[in-house]
Amino acid sequence: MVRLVKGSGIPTPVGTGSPRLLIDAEDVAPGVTKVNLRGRLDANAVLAISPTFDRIARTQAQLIVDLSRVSFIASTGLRTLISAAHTVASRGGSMVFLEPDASVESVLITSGADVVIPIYQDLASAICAVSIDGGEEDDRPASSLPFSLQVDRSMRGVARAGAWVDELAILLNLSQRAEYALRLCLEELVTDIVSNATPPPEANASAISLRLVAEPSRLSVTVQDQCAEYNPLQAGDPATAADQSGEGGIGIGLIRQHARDLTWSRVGPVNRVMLTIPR
Amino acid sequence: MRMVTEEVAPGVTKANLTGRLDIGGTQEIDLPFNALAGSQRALIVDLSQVDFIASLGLRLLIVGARTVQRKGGRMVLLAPPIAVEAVLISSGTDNVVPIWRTLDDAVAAVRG
Repeated sequence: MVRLVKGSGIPTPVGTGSPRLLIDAEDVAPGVTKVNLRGRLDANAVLAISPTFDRIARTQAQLIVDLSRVSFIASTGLRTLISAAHTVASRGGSMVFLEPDASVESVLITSGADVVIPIYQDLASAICAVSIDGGEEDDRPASSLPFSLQVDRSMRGVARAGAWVDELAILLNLSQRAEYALRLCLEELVTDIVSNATPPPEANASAISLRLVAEPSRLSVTVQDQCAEYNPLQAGDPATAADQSGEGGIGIGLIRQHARDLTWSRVGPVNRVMLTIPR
Repeated sequence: MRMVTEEVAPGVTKANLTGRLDIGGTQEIDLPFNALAGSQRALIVDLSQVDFIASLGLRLLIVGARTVQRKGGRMVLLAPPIAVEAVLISSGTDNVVPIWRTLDDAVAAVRG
């Protein structure tokens, strides 16, 4: 059943002959809404669908965003979708992406949007994911604030990450222990990537993305780069490093002592390290 | 990051570090600290006013200690805050540069 969303009198995409909607919504399972987006989600299209999308995000708890007919997505589009996902999460719901094509998926991954909004390739898995997540309302954080920063893949970038920690410590009123752990993990990880990862051939892919989600009891941190496949967590043994003039694995050993849930993954063209820090 | 030196006993120099030994802080005192390490045989590094250290800062201390030791001298660390001390110990840095809690003990240790 296709249920057109109220107020979807939306401008038609440029260059198409007949008027058509860029957004509609339908129920695909009890309590689960699928939002279908279409066309090129450039800045104008995003502006056009935002009110409708926001309204859906404020009223639905289990949301699947079908991207199968989206051919392009702009960064402003991602911001809108991520902010909608946080709206949904703040009400104990969850939101996932369905079936982005390869080029859209690569944008979602390199921007880190898929950390906040997981990607599924078939409807059944997507329904299952939002149903499980959205059901456990009591376990979900009442509010989680996202922050992100891009830094140069250089020692100046390491320093910039440190300045970011200064800001976050004030904004989030971090305990001294949490601030120390965050500063240490970011400094060590970014330094390690700058020193050891092989830079990408494309000059515009040389940044390191930092993302932090502040939940009531912990900070969830993601650090990603687009270097060649490189896992900083596999660096040398920390116990022996101090005796070798402080090279190598000291930093990673320190991260292990200050962070939890430490993982590395290769996602498409991206190296992604995730960790959490108790607040 | 600031570094101020004082003579706390005949032939014994204490370097008082203040601030964060993060990448910026470490770079700021890198040269003066290495120069100090190269010119002293009995060096106490007072960390009581240092509220952060990570591997870049550890490297500075370890290289400094090695520099002093190569001339037959001694370097020790004095009174780091708990979070800093935890990093010094878990990284094994205290095996290279011993940590002392009181100035008297530190002076006795560098005099040998």
